[in-house]
Amino acid sequence: MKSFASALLMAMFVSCIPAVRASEPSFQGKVVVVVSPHSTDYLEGAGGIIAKMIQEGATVYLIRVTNDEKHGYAMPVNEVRVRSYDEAQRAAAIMGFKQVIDLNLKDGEVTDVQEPELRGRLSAIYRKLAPTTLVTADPWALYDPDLDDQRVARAAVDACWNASSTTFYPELPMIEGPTRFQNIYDRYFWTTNGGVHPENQYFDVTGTLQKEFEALEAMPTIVSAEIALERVRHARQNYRSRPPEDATAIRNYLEQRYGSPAEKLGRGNGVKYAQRIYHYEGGADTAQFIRSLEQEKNGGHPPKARPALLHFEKGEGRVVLMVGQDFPALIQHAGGTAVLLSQSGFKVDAVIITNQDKDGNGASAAANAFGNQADDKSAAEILGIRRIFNLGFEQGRIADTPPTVVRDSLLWILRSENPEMVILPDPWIRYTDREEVLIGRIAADAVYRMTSLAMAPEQQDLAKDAKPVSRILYWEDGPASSRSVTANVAVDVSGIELKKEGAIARLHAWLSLEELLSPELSAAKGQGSSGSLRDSALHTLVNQGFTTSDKDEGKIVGVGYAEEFHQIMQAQQ
Amino acid sequence: MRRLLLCSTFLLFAACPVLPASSKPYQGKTLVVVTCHADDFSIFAGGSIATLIAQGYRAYLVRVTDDEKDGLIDPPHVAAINDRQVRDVAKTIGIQAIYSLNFKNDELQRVPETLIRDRILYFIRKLHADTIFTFDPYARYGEENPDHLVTARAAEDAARHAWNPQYCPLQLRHGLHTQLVLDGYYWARGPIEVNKVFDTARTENIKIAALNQQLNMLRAPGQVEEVRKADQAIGAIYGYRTAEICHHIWYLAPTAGNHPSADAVMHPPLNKGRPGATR
Repeated sequence: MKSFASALLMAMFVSCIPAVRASEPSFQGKVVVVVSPHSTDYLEGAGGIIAKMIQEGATVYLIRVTNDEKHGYAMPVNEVRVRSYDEAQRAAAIMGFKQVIDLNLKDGEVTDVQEPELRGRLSAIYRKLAPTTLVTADPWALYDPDLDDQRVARAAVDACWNASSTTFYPELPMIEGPTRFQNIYDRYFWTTNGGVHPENQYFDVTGTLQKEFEALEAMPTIVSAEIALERVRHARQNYRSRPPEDATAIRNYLEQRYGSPAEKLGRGNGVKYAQRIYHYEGGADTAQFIRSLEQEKNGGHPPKARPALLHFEKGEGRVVLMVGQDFPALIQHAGGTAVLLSQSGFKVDAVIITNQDKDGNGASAAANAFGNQADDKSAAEILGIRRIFNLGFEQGRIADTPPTVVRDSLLWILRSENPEMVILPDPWIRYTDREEVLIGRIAADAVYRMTSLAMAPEQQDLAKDAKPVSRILYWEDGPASSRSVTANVAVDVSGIELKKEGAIARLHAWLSLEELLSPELSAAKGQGSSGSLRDSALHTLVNQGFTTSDKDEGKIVGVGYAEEFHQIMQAQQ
Repeated sequence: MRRLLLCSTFLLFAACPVLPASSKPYQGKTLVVVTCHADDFSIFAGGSIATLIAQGYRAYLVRVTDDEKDGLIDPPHVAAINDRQVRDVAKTIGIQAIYSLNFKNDELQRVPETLIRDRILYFIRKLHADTIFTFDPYARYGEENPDHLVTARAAEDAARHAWNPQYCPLQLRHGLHTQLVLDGYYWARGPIEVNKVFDTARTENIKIAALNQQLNMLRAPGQVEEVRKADQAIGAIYGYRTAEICHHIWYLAPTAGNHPSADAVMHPPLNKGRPGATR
């Protein structure tokens, strides 16, 4: 499944991948800046490659953005900070960095830092160091749940251009002394945490992979915490591969986690160890853009692949948590799946992030919010959803709500409910609703961090017993062209359309808003009909909006109706 | 906010030219162009916008930033020069009026996103926009300017919700009406899903003339010529002498076919206040 999904996702990048580079570029005389959200990221993402750059004679600087304080599992955060600081310096010395620059931002909370502030700080450094090459996380990688990674990477890229212009941060040269204003066009992106991105550059790291391992071994605080966390995950949820029993066996762990993939990749390229990365020529180059158009025109949209049909085993009381910005979205995209899961013996709960005060045409926003809560409960009964948690953030304002505030609220629920499966909007899909994108990103980050004890310390008692989520299902919204490349599983919901329709019919407050756009529904109301005319109008509306989509998806997998998801399995099957 | 009709029947067209049957198929319709910087709309979509205007759209421009950083002198003077020049550019392209939101250039990420959205939403309602034209909010590698993405997200969000009376209700209490935006065109300078190609053979001269009026921003020698060559290169890919590309999106799935003239789904009460003579 993994290779199938990866192949599909890689197809999504067809239009933006330059041809794979056969030969390795030389880094002799280059000045490279590595921007790493956390101390081990650069090693996990591109350690062997960076070591090779240094070996070839590049002058390489490391910008360590966060303080890593939440990367110690059960260790007190202040102790982690101190240890991690010292260990990062030791690792950098092993690698051969010329200098480590610490920005000392709060681990796990970079997403709340204003991007212009972060890129201003990076611009100052770039101006001083005048790098030719940037190496950082891929800001456009799909399915990397860590919000820190995205914010840091995006700022690192934006700073390349900002650093080149005197109109940005004009005070910096006065403070910093002599500087050079130049863009960094040569960029390399890694991805971690299961992220997917195009990889077009292979490096033979046979001579430098051990350097990566030595550097990681010099950071036992973080690496041991990773092992401890994996052990906990494994014990509680059969999570991924089994970590080494011996807590001191860091090398075994590194060999298993990073050595094996490098060896496998190397074998395919005729060398002992290889690593790959995405090389990207920045600067918004017009010629590159036109090349990408040519590629897309010639390759066209990737063919609609057939997702695998997903069957659920018996739930036996295990919990499934569905997360949505409002209840109608949840019904539309995963309502049938909720019914099936409930019928299979799962306990299905829902978290509605917003107050849904704009989902209605009532007398006031408060009336809408109140009405929707009652309606949701009624609709949930039809779908077999056991409970609804309303977080109550203002609808339509999530973009301006600090992500960590929403995330930490979600953490309470994740940690107390311990769901085996989480169903949420896919935030990496294109041409969809902004609020769904935001909520999908935040929820993915919460799922990723729920077993981290240092995250939201007031919840520590819950976090201690938190079980990692085994299966994540991102529901697919947006146009079919986007769904086609991200959906890798589909749930057969044939025969459940009427339940969906019945649930929708209960959403009176929300339907009062839909009446504004549905002449049929509006006419039915105007005639005072609550009977067949309204039912007919509602059926038309639901059929247009919900079941047509399900029917289209069903055709692809050879069933009557289906709901599509991008599945990520975190537990072994 | 989830809409029933919204997603399921979004229609993805194969890359195809906009070739309406009649010469003025969009007569009476309003296009609101939301540009982050004063030269974005002219460089990336000047020919497309001029084409849509020629086909009947009445177009307006919403400028999001003050463009104070795009010039070689001090920010106040740069902003003033760019302000003057974009007026000439808009006139040449055929845009009726410009509305400036005056946010700080290249610092949009400091501004609450919903503030930008709500201001754009005001102009969508005020101008009775049927269609918007802006950056693609989902452009990926190659779209290097974060201002562009912020603007695009805010514009798309505004277009999706201008019909909902619960968004910015105070605007409605002060004389505006809700507005149903049917569709949007997204230009880009990074890879996107291209599903619309504008044959700009008839409007390229207008675009080039406009760009030549914007030389404070397009100050590099030969920059206007580069744009022309790029349009020719894009045209060559799709079989035209010169072309611009974009992503076309329906915010509301047309129930009466998939042609842009899907007015059948526009509910009259939502659009009251629209200038009747032009509808």
